[in-house]
Amino acid sequence: MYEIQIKNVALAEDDEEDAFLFKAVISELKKDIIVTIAADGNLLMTFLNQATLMPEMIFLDLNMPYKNGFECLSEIRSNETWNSTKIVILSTSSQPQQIENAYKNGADLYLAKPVSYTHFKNMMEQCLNLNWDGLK
Amino acid sequence: MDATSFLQQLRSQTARSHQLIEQNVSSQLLMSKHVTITHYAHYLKSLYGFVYGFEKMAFPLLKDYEVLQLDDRRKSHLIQADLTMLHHTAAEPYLNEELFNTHYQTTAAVLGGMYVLEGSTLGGQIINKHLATVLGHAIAGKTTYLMAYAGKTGSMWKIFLQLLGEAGTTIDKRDEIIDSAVHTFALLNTCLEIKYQFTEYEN
Repeated sequence: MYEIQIKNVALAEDDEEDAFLFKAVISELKKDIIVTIAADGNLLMTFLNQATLMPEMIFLDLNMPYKNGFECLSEIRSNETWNSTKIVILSTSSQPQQIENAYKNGADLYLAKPVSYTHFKNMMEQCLNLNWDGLK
Repeated sequence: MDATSFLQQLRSQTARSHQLIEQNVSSQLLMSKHVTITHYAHYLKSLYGFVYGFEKMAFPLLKDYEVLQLDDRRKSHLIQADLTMLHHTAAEPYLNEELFNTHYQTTAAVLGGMYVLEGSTLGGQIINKHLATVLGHAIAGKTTYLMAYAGKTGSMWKIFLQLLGEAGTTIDKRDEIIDSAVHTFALLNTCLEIKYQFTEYEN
């Protein structure tokens, strides 16, 4: 069984309401998790380059200004020191081509953002407790 | 458990949450000597989503508690009025309504949430005093939200506490009120954090 002890996660998301929901849901599910929100891809990369404690899991929105989710994904995956970090794409799009591209570029999981708060919470709960072996 | 003991328990079990919200970077900035009109306006905007949503979605569950004078406790319009006076754009009700439906399904849960919002009217007086000291006449007449009940703050708080204390004498409601208050503190803390993050981004 390959489960990760999640203590620290980061989200790159330019939509304020989505960022709020993410943080509210994570805080509700696991009170001790540190959640860092970056309002665009550039801010995420700046945070990662300066972080003393690397997040175990990074959530990426795809459509963001300055640096989009795919660019962040490539940058993170090209840095060997960040290899063990799980990357989860959180996107409103469910286009098969986009999902395929995300996996090809090194995403560990692709999740389509549900509209409902309850569904989003259930989805995040499963994501945080995922057995990553099953995804290999 | 009597009402007094319940209120003591509520205070003690929410003390940490209360402390966290005071330590929030946005709250710290508001209470610093470097606070500006812009900081204050962003602080108001960060609260609006929650206050508006709570009034719209949760207040109706308390409609039978006439003693509360619910209409007098509505404050979201005061935030908008202050922002207008500050020449800032209106705040957006940016929180998902389902969030309120999920968390405030019972009168006990709503009372727990109100404990936090009504308690903030006491803190509002302190913030107002601080802003008046630092910003002077620039905020005169622009703190109607912070000064919501003005001279009636004490009596409005006492009326609410009396009702809350009575509600908390039954064990099922007691736990629900406390859980909801803790949760409400956490949601407000998140509102402040996220808005701060996105405000920095806008600047």
